[in-house]
Amino acid sequence: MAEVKSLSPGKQIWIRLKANRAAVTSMGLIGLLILMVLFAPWLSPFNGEDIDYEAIAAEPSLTSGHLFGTDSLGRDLFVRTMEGSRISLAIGLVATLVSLIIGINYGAIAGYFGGRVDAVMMRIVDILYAMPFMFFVILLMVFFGRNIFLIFFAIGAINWLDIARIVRGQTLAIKQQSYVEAARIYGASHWHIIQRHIVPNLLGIVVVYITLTIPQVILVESFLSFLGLGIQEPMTSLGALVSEGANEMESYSWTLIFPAVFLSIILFCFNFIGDGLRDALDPKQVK
Amino acid sequence: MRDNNLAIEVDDVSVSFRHSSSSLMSFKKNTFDALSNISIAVQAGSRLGIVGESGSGKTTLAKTILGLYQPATGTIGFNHGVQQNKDIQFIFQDPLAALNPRMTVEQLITEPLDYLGVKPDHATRTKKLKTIMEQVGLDYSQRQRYAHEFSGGQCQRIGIARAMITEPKILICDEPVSALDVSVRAQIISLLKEFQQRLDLTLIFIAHDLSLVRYISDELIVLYQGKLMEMGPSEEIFSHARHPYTQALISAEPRPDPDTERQRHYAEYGEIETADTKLDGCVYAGRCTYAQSRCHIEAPKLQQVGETVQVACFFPLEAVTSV
Amino acid sequence: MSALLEANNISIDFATESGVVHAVRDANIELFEGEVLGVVGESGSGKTQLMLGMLKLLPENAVTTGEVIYSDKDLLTLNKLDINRIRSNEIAMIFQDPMSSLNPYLKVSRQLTETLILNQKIDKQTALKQAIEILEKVRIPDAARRVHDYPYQFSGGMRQRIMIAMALLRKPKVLIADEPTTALDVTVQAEILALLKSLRDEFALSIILITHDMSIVAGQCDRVVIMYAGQPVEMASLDELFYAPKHPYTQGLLAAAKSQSGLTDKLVSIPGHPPVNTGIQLGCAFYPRCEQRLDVCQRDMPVMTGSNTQQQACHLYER
Repeated sequence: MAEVKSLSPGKQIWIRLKANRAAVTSMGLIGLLILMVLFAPWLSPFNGEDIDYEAIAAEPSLTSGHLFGTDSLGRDLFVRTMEGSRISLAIGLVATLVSLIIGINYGAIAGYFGGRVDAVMMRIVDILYAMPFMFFVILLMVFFGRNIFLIFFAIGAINWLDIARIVRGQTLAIKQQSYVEAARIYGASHWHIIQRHIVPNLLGIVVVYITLTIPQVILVESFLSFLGLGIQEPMTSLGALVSEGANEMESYSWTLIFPAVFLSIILFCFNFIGDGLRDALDPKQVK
Repeated sequence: MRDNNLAIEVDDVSVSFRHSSSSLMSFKKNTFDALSNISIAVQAGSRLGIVGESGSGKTTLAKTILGLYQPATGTIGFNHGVQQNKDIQFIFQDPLAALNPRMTVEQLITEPLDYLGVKPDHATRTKKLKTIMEQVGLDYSQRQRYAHEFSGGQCQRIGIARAMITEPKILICDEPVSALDVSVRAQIISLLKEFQQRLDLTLIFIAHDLSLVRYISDELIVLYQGKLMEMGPSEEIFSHARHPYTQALISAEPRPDPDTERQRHYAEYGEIETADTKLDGCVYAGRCTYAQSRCHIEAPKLQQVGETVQVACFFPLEAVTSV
Repeated sequence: MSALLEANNISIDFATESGVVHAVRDANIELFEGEVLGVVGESGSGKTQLMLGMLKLLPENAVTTGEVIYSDKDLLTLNKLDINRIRSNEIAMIFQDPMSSLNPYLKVSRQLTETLILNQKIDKQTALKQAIEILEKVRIPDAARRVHDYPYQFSGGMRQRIMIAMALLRKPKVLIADEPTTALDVTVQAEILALLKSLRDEFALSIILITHDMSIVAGQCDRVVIMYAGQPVEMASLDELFYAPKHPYTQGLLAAAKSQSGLTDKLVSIPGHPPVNTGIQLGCAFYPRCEQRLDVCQRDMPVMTGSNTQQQACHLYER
């Protein structure tokens, strides 16, 4: 009789995820992209800030070395796209991380303690939700000037609300499980219960949420940059590049196309990974 | 506590719950009594069975003893030396649900050791784990596996190992075999009995019917709608049920014998639709086939019948043949 | 006598990450007109999967092979529309948890009348009248008023009655009841069992009763199939099974059930635990737990042998 392999819940999810071709391809692409944005700029002979006076607004060409062409200032678009992707991904990851740390703890505490604590904490979330976020961010930018950390903060500060709500809902369900009650009976503290029994069992849903939050954050940043409120020159992001490209798309179409393609690929990939994870985490769902 | 032989003394305990969950907006309190005026004394080293159907308050009573619920009135006292949060352990009905799905057997069983005050070192942990896994009949080589890879019976063994590793003085089992396959139930019962005898544990065994309980408990209490119906030695209650409810519980239980079943007259046991209405009479009067007018007006108090049994009934049954 | 419902050589495999799970292997079952057939097994015995597979109710990662003959048709070859018609008119199924079949947001009246209005093209008033009638048949007190309640306003036993009423609404010939009383209190269980008994005569039902409880079988069934690890191991009339059980597993199960009912002085169990149904099985699945095992049991899978009224898959009786 063949033995059934011993599988941890994590491994099972991984096996199911691996069976999802779109998700695996997306993960590969994201991995490749991260390597590219980290190392590709050094492979290019150009620097993102240098102006090539011999090739201003030049078309993409292999011979000149400007793979993606240059913008209207003569800066190499390949290097700038890589740097922009790097900033966009970084904002996506950091802002998501910030919102995760706040959101998980806030939601888990509200859900675990329940009652009054929960009611008060979730009303605060409701109030924050009701604030016109974009307006708020624009005001911040106008008052304090454009600042990359401010962007991290602003985006993170709004996204944790979603996570807190989801985590709280899950916590309410997990709290009812008898293994949580068991832990209370053998004397685990509230802190231990949240850390050992609640949060690890939340991870599944949170992981899905991460992959859906990252593209959302990238998109918000792009939107801010498109409005001219995002990243400040000489730094750039995909949103800022798309914005510049859009102004010149009639004459120099490549300045829009390349950053836009990168932005789309990143967004697509994260969404596919998110979808794949969601299916992998829910074995009962049959397509 | 005066009597040194008592492990637990439940004195006139009532527990009530609020109906609706609390909200900032509503301050209305609708309470109902899950337990009313329960008094029991559990001898150290004895085995007490608590029997009742859903809504009888049997689990509430156990959790109040554990300190998870605060009694609205009354007190729970323990023998000196027993600390509520250290020396009482609990076995759950659904063995798999009581085990965190993201922890290995090793982590599951040894976790309670972290909360004993002094954390044992790695070597002690391993030794304790090995011993306890052997004692409950689990294979030590399977300690890195997850709960969902085991059958129900084995999961319950993990639960027992987790409870026993802290060497408790009192063990409360909430229908520990109801969710298990018929063919393995006796294994778990005898395992629990073995621990009880070897360590001189005080054991509380909760069940929804009387048939299994009599193998493990020497004393029995029967609860209905949060009230004590009957109390006494198991054998005595099982062979001569004096409360009509206890009798109904025994006779309603089907027997694995076609000839007996063919002779069964299905009695109407009556079904309770709402527990909300507070009646002045006996809680069981509405379903009771022997109820008389007095039963609907006045609630019977626990009274001594015979030498060892106490019954809350105005008209206790005389030596009724069970089955 | 030919069978009303006949399942031949049913095998059900589930494709999972950790390999193929054989939930049911080569099972043969027949249900005769007017009888109550008990299908008994522990967790993982495949008793529920077998029934779901016969009615094509399993998820898509399950593969069911074999044939299920009902009124000269093979149910497994029917298309969705036809099998739905069979399931709503001919073979009804009720489950352990009534809430899984009742919509918590709809009044009972709506849930009962909806299928009548849709399928029988009758007006609302007539449908409601029929719904109240059927609720009275399952003995729900004050049915005319309570039909307008929501499922949560009923107790567990009453919900189970409503589910039975829903199953009987279309006057099916076969009722498959999957552990219908497991979630109920003993006193309520006794009433539901009594109800099933009387409904059987009233509606001329043939019933398949799936359960793990030998005591329920004793009071309800005419014939019994014992399943272990996805296979029927013994099939016999009620009395033969209880008073002359042949398969060691049946004997063990009966002994355990008897002791748990307080009929013996000592509590007994079968050593070991039920197997996981994966991989290729050579010998008898019960071999590791069997106290009467022979050498041959480890090598060869036993086949069903025996009389007309009692068959068992065990090498002890093979000659």
